[in-house]
Amino acid sequence: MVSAMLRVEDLTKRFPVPRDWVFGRRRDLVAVDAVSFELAAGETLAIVGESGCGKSTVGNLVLNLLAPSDGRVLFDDAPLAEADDTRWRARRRDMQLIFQDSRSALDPRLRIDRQVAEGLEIHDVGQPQDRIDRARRMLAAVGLDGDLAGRYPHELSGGQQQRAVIARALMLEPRLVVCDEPVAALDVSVQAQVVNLLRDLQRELGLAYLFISHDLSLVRHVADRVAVMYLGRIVELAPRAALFTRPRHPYTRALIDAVPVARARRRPDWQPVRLHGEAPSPLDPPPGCALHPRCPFATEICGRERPEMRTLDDGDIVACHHAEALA
Amino acid sequence: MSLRYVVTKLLRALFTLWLVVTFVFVVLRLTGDPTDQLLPDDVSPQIVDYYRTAWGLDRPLWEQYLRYVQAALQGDFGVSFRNNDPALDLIMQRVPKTLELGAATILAALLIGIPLGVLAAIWRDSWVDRITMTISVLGFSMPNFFLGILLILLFALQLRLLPSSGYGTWAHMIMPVFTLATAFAGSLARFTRSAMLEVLSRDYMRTAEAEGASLSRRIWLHAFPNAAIPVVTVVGFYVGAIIGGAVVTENVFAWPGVGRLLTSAVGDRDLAVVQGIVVLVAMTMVTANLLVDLAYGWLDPRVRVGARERGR
Repeated sequence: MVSAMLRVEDLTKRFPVPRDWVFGRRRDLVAVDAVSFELAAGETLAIVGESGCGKSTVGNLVLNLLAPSDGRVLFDDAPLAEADDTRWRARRRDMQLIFQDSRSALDPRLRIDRQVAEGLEIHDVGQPQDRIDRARRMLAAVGLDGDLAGRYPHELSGGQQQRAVIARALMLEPRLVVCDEPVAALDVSVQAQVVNLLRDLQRELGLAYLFISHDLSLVRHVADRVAVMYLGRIVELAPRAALFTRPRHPYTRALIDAVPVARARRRPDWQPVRLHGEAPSPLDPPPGCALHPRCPFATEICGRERPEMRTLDDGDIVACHHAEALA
Repeated sequence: MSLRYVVTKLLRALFTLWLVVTFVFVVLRLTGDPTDQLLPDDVSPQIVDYYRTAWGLDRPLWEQYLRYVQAALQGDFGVSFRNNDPALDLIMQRVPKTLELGAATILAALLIGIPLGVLAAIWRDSWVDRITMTISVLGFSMPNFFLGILLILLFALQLRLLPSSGYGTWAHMIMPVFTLATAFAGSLARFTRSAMLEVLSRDYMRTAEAEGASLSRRIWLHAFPNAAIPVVTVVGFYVGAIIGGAVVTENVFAWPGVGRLLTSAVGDRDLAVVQGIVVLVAMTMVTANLLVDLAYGWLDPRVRVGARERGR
């Protein structure tokens, strides 16, 4: 692939788990397990999965808010972790993030315009008044003008707060924005507004989004490509259209079949895939394919050998022994 | 901050004070006639009556109460039964010495407790955190009279480094301040730590980090001001408590402050002085709490605006 802006190679994050007792076995929780993907400028890659699958941890690793246990993140072909302080601070401007809980993402003690301007302050851009003016222009661009910009966070509604969070993330003119469940806390009607705002901004500013979400119908609207995660691993990575019309991995199929709207559009002869039971604890993942105890298509090999990520003829990437048979 | 917010808090503070003044009056009258205690047993009834009239003890209770409140409003808490000095003068002679001790204690506790709490939160579960939290439990669970006596044994009797008691040089202050400040610093460190941990887990801390804000900027601009809101409550409570609560420590170290005056006045059943001190302590408490409320309004925009909206 021609040089992607962001390249993630074998990213792994293990968290040490406190021992049960003094002489207990030392264990690690593998939150993210050898995750690799690329993201081009202006592109949206969605990472979907159930809560606890490690998708938010991937976001934190990409932004280097967490240090990886293994693997690396390259931005413009330069490894993030190895940047020295000055280069690192400069790099920060290229990558920003948007959180799910806008209430917690804003400092309750600072006025909105002041918070939005903070990035400029940190990077010493312009004069104080100039910074506030720029922040107010950005706030107006996301639909928060005049009086609203001078308020405190608790005086705004959830949707307005999320707009402020977006404005703040964009102040430093980043090229990559990690959106961690950016609209999950909002009402459905407000969700659409915020999603449309994100898409408009992407077109105008050429932003790349790493869009982390559990909501497939949302992902269907925003993503160019979709990565599906299960227990810390990517199980399928494909362009949006391919993933939704021709899911290769049983887990992807189960996720899609669980969405009522997506199911209605299926062919009449479509057999929905149902998984058995609950997702196992990431502390104690099953051997072989992590999905095999729940998978209706599992055979003997699935419990024995872990399926590696492989690229199929049409370019989709999938980690399943039976991907060809299922298509 | 709105005028209405301030006025409401002020009226509430005055009401609390009035309750305290009344309560003190009632309780002290319930304990019996002070003339029995102060005059020798063999004095003639005429002399007892003379003093009862002179001190107003022969009047009906409600009249005594009204006179007492009226006088108190004018800053007159009556005269000491011992030597006829105005009670307020006796108290005011001692106030600077207690304030001296209190100010040094609060300063020491803030300078020790808050940084320790902040560090313990930043390096959570590290050895810094564990040692700080262990010492702080020790600090606030050790009774002042016990810690004070231990210090005297060690530094005055064994090492002969510090004077065991009394008032005068800065060396006299070290042990009483240390005794009072340990408990305060201990609970301050714990409160600061838990408030900081709460704030550090907020998303705006990660946002600031993602923007490239330095650790000191994140701590002192975002985390600490937000964590300070609960911490201020504890500080306010202690400021009030130290003025009145130095009773034990002042006695252990023979510090000539309000606390010692209170113990001797209670022993002598010197009504006017006891009343005056209790009212003074209550005033300090109420003032400290009032300042805490006003500080909230300044620290937390939610309180400020909430009051403004109610005021409309």
